[in-house]
Amino acid sequence: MKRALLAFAAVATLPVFTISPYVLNMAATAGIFVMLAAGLYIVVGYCGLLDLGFAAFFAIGAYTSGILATRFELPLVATLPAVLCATVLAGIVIGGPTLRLRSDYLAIVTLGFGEIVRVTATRLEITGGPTGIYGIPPLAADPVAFFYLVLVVTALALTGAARLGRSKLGRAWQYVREDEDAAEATGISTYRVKLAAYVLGSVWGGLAGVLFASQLSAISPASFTFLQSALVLVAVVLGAARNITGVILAAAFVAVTPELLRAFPDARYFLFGVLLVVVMLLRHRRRATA
Amino acid sequence: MSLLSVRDLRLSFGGLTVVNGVSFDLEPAEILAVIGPNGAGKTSAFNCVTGVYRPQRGSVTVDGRPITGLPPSRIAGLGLARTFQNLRLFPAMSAEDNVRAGLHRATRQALWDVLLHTPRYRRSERESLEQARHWLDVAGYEGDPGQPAGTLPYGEQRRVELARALAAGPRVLLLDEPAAGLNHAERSGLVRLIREVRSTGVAVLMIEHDMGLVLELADRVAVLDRGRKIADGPPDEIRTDQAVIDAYLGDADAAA
Ligand SMILES: Nc1ncnc2c1ncn2[C@@H]1O[C@H](COP(=O)(O)OP(=O)(O)OP(=O)(O)O)[C@@H](O)[C@H]1O
Ligand SMILES: [Mg+2]
Repeated sequence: MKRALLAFAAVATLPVFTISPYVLNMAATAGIFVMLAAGLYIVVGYCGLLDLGFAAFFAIGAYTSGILATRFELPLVATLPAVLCATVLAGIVIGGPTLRLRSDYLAIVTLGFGEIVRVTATRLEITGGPTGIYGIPPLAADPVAFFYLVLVVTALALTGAARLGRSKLGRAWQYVREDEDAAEATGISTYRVKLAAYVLGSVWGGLAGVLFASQLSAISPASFTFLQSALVLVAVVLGAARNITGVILAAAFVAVTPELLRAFPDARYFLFGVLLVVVMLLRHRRRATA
Repeated sequence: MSLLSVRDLRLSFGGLTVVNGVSFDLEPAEILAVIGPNGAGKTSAFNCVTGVYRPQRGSVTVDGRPITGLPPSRIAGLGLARTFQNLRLFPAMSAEDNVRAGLHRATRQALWDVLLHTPRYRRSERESLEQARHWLDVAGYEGDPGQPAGTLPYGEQRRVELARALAAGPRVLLLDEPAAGLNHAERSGLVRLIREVRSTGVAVLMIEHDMGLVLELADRVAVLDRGRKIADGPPDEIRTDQAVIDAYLGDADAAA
């Protein structure tokens, strides 16, 4: 807890050193990505469900707020209740029928779901087709203000996820992850517990989507590809899957590295891939010797 | 009307019938031991009762209420708690968190209380922790309650599993070979515990190969052989039953 506060304070001093919009923007991007990872951590880290389509909830949050804000000229904050409803609903609609499946099937279904959402967004008129939606009003226009907004929301999201983990529900998620049959035999309705993880993860992802829509002021299907889902998953797995602090660091790493590698435009993703492999191997080695 | 009543249970996997027309009843505070050679279908029958398997035929009722077809969690909620032949703990989680699984149904926590860490949340966490430690004590657990269950010695893991089952406040406790792998001292601890549990009115259904333990504890013994119940009666009768001697005790003697 103390360490978390210290880390929060340290990150909060960033604008003291620089108010370059480029840096602050990158920090906000990292923050949004950390929030996404916190949401997926509930599903994958706590509950052990493999989700390969998490970007879908990110998209549902971003599109819901973007569409409502541009069509009805609402401030983005006013769309939050609708975003909550949409993500909860999406979590139930997708999770409801699929969470009775075993984890490997679930992975495939979520992969399909992610693609369905992206393709639907490309085809529908209301989502703006392939070009998407633009002119979304920001939550905070000033880069420094937006940076702080993301910082606070992400910190709250992380705190919420960590607190959930230390509750009756969070323990039930971990029972499911550790031994689903034993959990069920102990009187835990594993289906409902999994659905709760899925829905809460979806809400976290959707709220991150609102921040994303605000930051870019324009969204399009290209932002919600399978690669995005995979990268969030990489952050969660890389971050030790058992430990939320690790997930923060890993998510920041995954979000920022490709940006820092812009200096090598051709080899950017190649280098990123190599770095990922190296970090994974190092982590694996450390755990093996620990 | 019996507390637990099993009628004409039949379960097959493909062409193989592993439980074939098994019936028995269990009253409160009764200890019923199920014995039989390896592969007789004892664990399978257990799994039918607890909802892990769905029998093709027959019925299981609790207080006259049919439970066949309900998910295992619902059946557990009706007061049936079990342990597994091969320990099924949550290995990465602490001993006390393992036991808290048994308390899950009795614990009430609203989402808001959890997210805001209200006094109500703190109280509920404190209470469930105290209760978990209480049940670990009852089960004779001597280790550190915070240690991951997967790293505990075997005997302690067994106690954690027992504590988890007891924490659910069962009316029927189903134990699948609880004495397997225990040393002499651990075994006497188990005997004492089962007696204590029974004295509170809980019925115990116990699969066990250790005949000494069965004769010492059981009020009644049911014998399974190749899916069928071949005998059911007080331990003294079972010991001298010719069919039982042929099917099981004979085997055991031959193996010894
Ligand atoms: N899921 C399953 N699929 C196929 N066959 C099974 C399954 N579960 C059990 N069996 C078979 O059913 C038969 C009875 O097994 P069961 O585990 O019930 O025996 P048991 O009496 O508990 O034996 P033991 O004393 O060795 O524990 C065995 O032949 C076993 O191979
Ligand atoms: Mg068995």
